[in-house]
Amino acid sequence: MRQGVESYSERLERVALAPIGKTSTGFITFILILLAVAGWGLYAFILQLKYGLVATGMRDQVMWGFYLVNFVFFIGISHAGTLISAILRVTNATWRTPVTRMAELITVVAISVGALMPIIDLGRPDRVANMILFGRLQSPLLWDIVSISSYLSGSLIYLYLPMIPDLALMRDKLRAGESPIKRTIYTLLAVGWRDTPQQRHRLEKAIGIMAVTIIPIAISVHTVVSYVFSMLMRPGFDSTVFGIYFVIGAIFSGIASILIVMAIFRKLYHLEEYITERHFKNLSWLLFATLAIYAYLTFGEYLTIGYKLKHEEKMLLDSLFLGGNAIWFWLFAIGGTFIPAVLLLWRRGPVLPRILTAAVLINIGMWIKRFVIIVPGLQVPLMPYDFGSYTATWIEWSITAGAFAVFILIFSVITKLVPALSIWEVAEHHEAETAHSTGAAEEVEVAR
Amino acid sequence: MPDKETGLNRREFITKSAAGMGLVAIMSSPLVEILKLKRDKPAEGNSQITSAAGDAPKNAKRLGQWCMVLDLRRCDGCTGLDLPPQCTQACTGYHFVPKGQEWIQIFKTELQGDGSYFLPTPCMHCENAPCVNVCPVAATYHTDEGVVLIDQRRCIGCRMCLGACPYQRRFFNWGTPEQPPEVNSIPYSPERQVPAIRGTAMKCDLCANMLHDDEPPVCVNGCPRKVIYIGDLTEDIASNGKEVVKLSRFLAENNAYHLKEELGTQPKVWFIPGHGEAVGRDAYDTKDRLPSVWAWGGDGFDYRINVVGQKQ
Amino acid sequence: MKLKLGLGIGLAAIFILLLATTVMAQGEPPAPYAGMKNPFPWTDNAAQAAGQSSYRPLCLGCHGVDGGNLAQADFTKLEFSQALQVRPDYYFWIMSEGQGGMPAFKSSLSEQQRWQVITYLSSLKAAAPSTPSSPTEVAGVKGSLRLTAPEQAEAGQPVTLTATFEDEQGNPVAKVPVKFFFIGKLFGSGPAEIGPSVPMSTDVNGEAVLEYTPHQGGQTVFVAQYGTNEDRATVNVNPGVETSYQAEAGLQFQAVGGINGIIYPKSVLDLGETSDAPMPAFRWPGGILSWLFILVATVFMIWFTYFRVMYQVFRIPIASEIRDINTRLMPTIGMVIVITIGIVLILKLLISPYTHLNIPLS
Repeated sequence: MRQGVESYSERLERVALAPIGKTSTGFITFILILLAVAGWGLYAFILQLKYGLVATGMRDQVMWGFYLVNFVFFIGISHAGTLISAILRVTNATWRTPVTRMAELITVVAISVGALMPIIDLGRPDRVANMILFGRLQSPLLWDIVSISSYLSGSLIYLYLPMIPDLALMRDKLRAGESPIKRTIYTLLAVGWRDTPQQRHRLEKAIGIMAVTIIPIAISVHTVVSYVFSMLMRPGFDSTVFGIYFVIGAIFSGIASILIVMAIFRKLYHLEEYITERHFKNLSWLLFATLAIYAYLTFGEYLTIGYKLKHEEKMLLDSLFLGGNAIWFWLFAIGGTFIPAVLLLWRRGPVLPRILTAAVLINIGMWIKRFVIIVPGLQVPLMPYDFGSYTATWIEWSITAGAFAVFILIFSVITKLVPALSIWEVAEHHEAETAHSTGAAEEVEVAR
Repeated sequence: MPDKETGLNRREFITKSAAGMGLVAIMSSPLVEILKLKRDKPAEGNSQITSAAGDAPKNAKRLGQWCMVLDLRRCDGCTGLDLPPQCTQACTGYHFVPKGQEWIQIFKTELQGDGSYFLPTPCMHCENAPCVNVCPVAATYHTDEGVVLIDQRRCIGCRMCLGACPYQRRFFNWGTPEQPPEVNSIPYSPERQVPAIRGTAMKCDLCANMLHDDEPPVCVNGCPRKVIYIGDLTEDIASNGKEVVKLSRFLAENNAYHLKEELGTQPKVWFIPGHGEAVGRDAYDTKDRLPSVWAWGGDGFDYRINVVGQKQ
Repeated sequence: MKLKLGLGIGLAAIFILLLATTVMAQGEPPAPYAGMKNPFPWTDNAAQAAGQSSYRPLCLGCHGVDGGNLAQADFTKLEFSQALQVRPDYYFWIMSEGQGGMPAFKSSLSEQQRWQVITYLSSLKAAAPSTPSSPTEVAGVKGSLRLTAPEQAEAGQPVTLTATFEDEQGNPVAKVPVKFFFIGKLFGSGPAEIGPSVPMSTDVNGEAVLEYTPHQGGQTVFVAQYGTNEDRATVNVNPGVETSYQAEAGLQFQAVGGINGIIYPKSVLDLGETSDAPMPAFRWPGGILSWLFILVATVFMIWFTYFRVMYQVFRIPIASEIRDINTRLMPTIGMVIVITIGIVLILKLLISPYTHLNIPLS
């Protein structure tokens, strides 16, 4: 170790490990606020358990509301991790290395929160076990269970595997006898990693298998989520393209989420050197590509319905384009799709604020879009009833807010326990890059 | 891309798939044996068939398939009697239906040429029931006799069946259902869904318990115009409590139709077109049906659908 | 006196003239039609049937199915039929040569065919009206009705019901509309009408024969009815085992290897003894097992992969370096969890058909 000059990997370690175990007052305050919101959501849920679902705004005609919107939204966000980590790994896009950890973490937390939402939505949550004991495989909800449990397990494994060398790093940093509990945990989790070539080989093999396996599972997850709707004979639901529509929508909102998370942690944890503008730009192109595909699919959906104008679908489009739900639809279309597209294409001005604004608008727009898919379709009466109405009650709002709070909470706490960057991968990538560009001159510097 | 990096090379993939399928085949072979066994049993479910036609005890009836025919030529929504629709009242009274749910519901529907008619709509007990298809826990199911029932002790309240039914004939107990105290003395059965359980779905059950007791559904007898026929597709016969008809002939002669037949749900309720002319109702009569009346349930039931009967 | 005679002759002349005019207006058929007679007896059924088969394609369009469409040639009137029999040559002439709007049929119909049509036309006055008659309309004929039916029958097999109507002298009466009923039993009993929508008429032998397939078992009473005449016959119908109605839903695939769809195509959700909802139903439309193989194989592959991965992680710690903390704990726990969830899911998939078929386990 040469005095006074920090090598790349040393700086990387220092910066990436800086937030671990250290909590500022700002962080504590933030956590307390999130806990308060989550607690409020929990209180709302307890009230809902007490009085039943009559405490929500759902009724016989619009029998699904905010909870299913949240369900689709969170499962949608969870596709962030898969895309970044797995697809980019399989296609050997090495620029992905600084963001993989955050992406995988988003996946795991989003799925956990998302999988809770249908349970919150049940009329009898005490009978959840019936789904396993008496589960009928012909039902789309059972496909959900199979698929989401597989995806959650796979994502956990896929989050854990690349974390092993970093956990080993943290285990080694604690070697001086401090905090035996932490040391035990890190040692257990690090499974005796010593960075030998043989261990490296095993790990790479395992990660490689998972990367390939997780992609079809991830696609199946949001497909079966869409099948919960497209197996019903409702206007707006009864579509054959729902599978791919939802998957593209998930990747779309997933990339937007990862952009937001990247920007936040880059700022908070001073990761500017590792998460550069280049990452934002690359991801923004992916974001735009999925935006284009999503817009194309949405257009196709409404065109094929709108050209024929069957009776019930005419009522749906009247409501969506011109009637009570028009504000939400156009908010999504213009605010959530058109404006972000412009922002992504317009390459003037500072890069980060532009892309970040687009990502935020897109995520809000996608939440609204899921609402627009689910609720207006249910409002259309199939028998001589009036057009249905749905107004979410404070309980639904509280539980929604609580879900988001829990999401952010778990995410924030975990980034205090494990590094937000995948240190070994970033170091490895940097090695590979500099070895390419500068040849042997950097060899001494890098090989620490 | 070196194979070792990604791990899953072709050979491994094939070996794994073959191993997987082999394992599955082995585990399933006893399954096929048992399926063959099942095939040898006659296809009668759990009914007892009498061979001698002379002695026919009540419950040894040949397995029937229940259906309904609604003769709209006679239905005037009970407007001629200045009463709320009596079929709904009979059903509500017998099943202590929670307030706001109308398991058989009378819709005032438009006719071409600005007329109107009344459409009593019970559960269709579809043969290809979308509600049965989507239930994740088999809480709703077909009985051997073709009646679609709900077991409220198994229902988890996911409400996918409410979304699946194209006739919107399923209802949900959003809050604790308010019912009179008599319900607690009646033993629960999916054939008679009392007491109602919060957080579960309910619908018309064709009074399945009464059918077993050789009684027609209460709406059949409750209708003062004798609109509702309960029929048996196996015996090709139907009755509205007053007259018995040969079902197939009755349907063909009177141009019976299904609601939303094109959806392929294969419903078992037919309608004979009419607008109440047989009981003296004019097609242009503007009198609307009276709202149904419950003897229980307060204002807090928070009506589930805004206004009944008026189409957009 | 001369005036009276003159007046009388004058009046007679006018009368004869008028008569002649009428006759002339009606026209006299010229030779060779004049004096032609119907070679067929007027009540010859065969001739009438043959005439009807010519009438239908050629005459029905203008004259109507019952012959009453044209006021100037209304075949349903008794007067027409009488006129037809008095002056057959005249009508034969009109049919052959045409008159006014009536086209000539001598080239499209042979002489015999034309006489058959004339014979048929004379029968139209007595034909039953095209709308179903109520019993009071033709209650005129007095007689007795007799219904015969076999004693035994099978549900699902046709039964022949023969209703015979004879007048008071015991002669069979034709063209009597007979309605058939059976006393149906469903929450009470009552007569249910069977047979065609338009009640069938007795033939020349006074018989109306109905082939009816009963679907209800037990002692079934059949009723034949005409006006106030009624007769009953009881048939003992064996209910049989096969149901005549099979509810089917979903795509029906051909039998594979002798097993009719490997899983029953029809819903076999047995209710069981109690009123519990049954175990889950494996009601895949069409009932083929192959999708189960695919699904089980897929789920198996996924969870086997997870297991392999956890095993790789298990092998990461170098055995000799494991000291006080067992670094193989995490991967072991991981493998156990993976195996448990995997087995539960796969068992779920495989057990569904078992529970569906309600096979007793003891």
